[in-house]
Amino acid sequence: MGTERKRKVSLFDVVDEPSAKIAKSNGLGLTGMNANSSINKWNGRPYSQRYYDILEKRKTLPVWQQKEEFLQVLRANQTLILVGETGSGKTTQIPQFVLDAVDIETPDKRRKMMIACTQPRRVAAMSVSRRVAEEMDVTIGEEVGYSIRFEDCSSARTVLKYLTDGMLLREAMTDPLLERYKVIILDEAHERTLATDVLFGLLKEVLKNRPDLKLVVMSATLEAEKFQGYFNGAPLMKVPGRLHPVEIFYTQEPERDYLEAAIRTVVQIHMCEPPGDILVFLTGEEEIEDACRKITKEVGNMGDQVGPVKVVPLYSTLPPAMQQKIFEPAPPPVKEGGPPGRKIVVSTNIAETSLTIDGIVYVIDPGFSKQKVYNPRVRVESLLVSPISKASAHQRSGRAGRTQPGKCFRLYTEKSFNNDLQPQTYPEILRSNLANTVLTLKKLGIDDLVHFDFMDPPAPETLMRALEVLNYLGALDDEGNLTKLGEIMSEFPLDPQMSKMLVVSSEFNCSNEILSVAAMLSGTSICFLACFVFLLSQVLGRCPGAISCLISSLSERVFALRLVHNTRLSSATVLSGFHAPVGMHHRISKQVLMQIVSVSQYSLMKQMVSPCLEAQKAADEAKARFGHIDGDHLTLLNVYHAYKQNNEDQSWCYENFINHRALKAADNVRQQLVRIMSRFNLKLCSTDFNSRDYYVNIRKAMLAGYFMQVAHLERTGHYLTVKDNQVVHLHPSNCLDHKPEWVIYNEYVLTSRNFIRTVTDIRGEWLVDIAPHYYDLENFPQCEAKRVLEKLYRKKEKDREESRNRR
Amino acid sequence: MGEALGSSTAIDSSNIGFQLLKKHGWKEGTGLGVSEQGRLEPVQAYVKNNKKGLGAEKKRKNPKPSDPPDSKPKNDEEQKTTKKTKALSKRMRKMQEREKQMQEKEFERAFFREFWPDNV
Repeated sequence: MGTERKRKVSLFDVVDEPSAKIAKSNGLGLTGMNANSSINKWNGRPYSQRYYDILEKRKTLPVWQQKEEFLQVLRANQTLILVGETGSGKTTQIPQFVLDAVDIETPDKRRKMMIACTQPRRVAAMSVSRRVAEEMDVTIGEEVGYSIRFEDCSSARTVLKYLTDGMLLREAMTDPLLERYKVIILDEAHERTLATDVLFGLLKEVLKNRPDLKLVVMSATLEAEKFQGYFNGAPLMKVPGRLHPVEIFYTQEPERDYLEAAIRTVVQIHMCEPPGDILVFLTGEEEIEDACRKITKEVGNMGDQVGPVKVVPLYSTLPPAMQQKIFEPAPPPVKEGGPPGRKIVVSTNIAETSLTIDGIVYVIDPGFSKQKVYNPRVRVESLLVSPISKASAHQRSGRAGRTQPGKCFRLYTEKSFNNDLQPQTYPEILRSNLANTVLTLKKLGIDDLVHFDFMDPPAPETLMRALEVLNYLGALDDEGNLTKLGEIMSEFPLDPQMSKMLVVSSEFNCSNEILSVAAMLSGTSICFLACFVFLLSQVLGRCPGAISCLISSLSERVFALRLVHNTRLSSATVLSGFHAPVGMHHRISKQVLMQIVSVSQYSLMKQMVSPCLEAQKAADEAKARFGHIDGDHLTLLNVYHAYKQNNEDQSWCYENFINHRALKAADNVRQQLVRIMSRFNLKLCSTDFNSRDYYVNIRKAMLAGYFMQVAHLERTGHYLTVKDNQVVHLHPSNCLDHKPEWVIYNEYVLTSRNFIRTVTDIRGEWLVDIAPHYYDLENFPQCEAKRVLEKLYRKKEKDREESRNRR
Repeated sequence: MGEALGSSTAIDSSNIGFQLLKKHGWKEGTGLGVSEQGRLEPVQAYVKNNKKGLGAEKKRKNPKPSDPPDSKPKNDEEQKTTKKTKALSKRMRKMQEREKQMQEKEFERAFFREFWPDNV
């Protein structure tokens, strides 16, 4: 008891007002500890002026008012749930409070103690850690660091580490009790990402075995009581956000077109409401760009009677520099004394909880967002537009009240709100393919998957699918135990299919090449023509998005033009998609195309296209240089090789319309993968390039991983996925010059038409050689592919007999 | 809200994943989790292909549920007739399809000529 009290005192001394005051007066304190307060205790250097400037600002954050209370509750409990709105400062300040407190309580400085703070997004982990390093006046990567997949920016000196939730899970694989950490903070827990949910269950176990470990779960208001129940009644602390009242408006009738309604509402607000910025929630990049254009145009048509507007799109694939635009102020009035300007942010649900934009007074909420879904019955994971939840709607409306009382316009009826929206968004674990998660759990030694303490257990079928996939891949044996292969596979931070492909690649004598392919596939979309897209947007003065004109093949065949559907061509951007940014490929039916072209906009379109012809041609040539007619995977390999041969030259990339940054990232990923390979003594080897087997071996090795993602060309001319019999189409970005009978694909893209993206030609014979256990005809639905396979098996049998007879 | 994604037939007991889950201690008809409280059915997903506002689609859907008793026999008949017409017009359809393809090709060519004059 006595020591307990002493500790309390020491804690007060340092983290509370007295020390802050002394810090302000530039370290005029006299006692031992305080004398050093102008010296940064983390790196021993004197604090910079900037540190004090930032400190002043930090102290105005709402969470500072509860610092003392927070630390008391934390000291008295092993687990603590902290609820605070975005903007309360919890993500940057709480870890620092904890750090200070822990530092005082650990008298033995030689023993390293670390604090982890998880983030659902890589970008957040990076940017927040940078900010905190600045606040603590230390260099990023030293005392404060971050760790995300394929990038570790921390050192032996690191005491506070921001990392993605997935990374913490990976760390648990080698350090099951997470012994390097003293306090773990799970931030943005309300987002309920897959990794966070798994960490919940895992940490609950770890906490039992490590009484010295503390856990702080931080969340925006959502579901806080549910967390409390799950964590055995852990105390709940609330940091009040600065929220003003928000008036909510519903529509009288359901809207026929929510996009149109949203634009209409923006215009109305701009005309009739007092100053204040507008935030519009839409579902995706394409829709957002479309809306931005239309809003600009409509407001432009109104002339001088209304103020100027700045329309800013916001979505995750937008380059960071463009994202920064949301923080720029609204434009000033055109004339002095004229109507004031307004900023209009059109965003996906990133702006819902994770990003704070000041000055928003009006929110427009059509009630939809893009959500990941997975159906184990069809095995397709995809992003689909779905109605949001009541909780999301609440969050959205809250965005209007950050600076002053605001208004939220819901583009649906109150009845719809009550009847059509579910209370909470389904956590990601219920909407995801769990193959990778199961592999991780197995590696963590959790064998009773059925009774694992999931906060929201997934459906049994989802787990069945995961077990099935891992069993077919050879990662689990028929009893469900992790095999040697599975153990190695789990070490790769990749999908199980890709890990399998890597692990077996040395057997196919092509691990060097497979490493390159894997790296190219897992880097952030190797936007082959990203530069080209950029160039075009420069030419056309607008962001990509409106029309994408896709060039389907590299061959001399005439390339087909495909236009993005649902654009009226009011102003258009043309881009060539080889690996264009996600979500940009849509095909329009020929009829619609005709319709559009026959309407008077024909000339407009022509006008748009012609300035790009030069660039278009050049980009096409670039593609012709790298394209491999047998498949996109091989094309990626060619690009990588060419990049290496040209000494990773930036200008070479530019000339060839290759995204240098993406390739550099891929190269980095490759190095990391090489390290893992060598750790398990997997041989790095290549087939002789001049050998006929060079590409054959690569394709075979890929098949060894991806034999469950195969499509067969039916006589009718379309592809059916093997076993699931879903009709799919080759994605127009492919560079094949023919329609192969069998293809493997990397990705299944679900839209109005189902596409398979990144495809490579493979041979039917290989299927029965490499994956006979999966292509087992007893367990195969009737279809054309089955008949072909039957023939192949018969042929194989015959060949075998012949060779036996010859002997 | 749009069409449901994929078939609704559950994974059957011959599936290796099914068997593996049983080996992990799962009993058919129960959920996962500490007290087997988890959901039984996977989350159903819907593909939304239009811009209709929230609640706007429901109105059309509402009359449907009252229909089923009538519509079922209709469906059977329909199926029969479509089967017949399918068999009869197979050749016709093939011809039509070819024609359509030709048209499309021609269109593509015309379109191409307009926009990429240098390349033809």
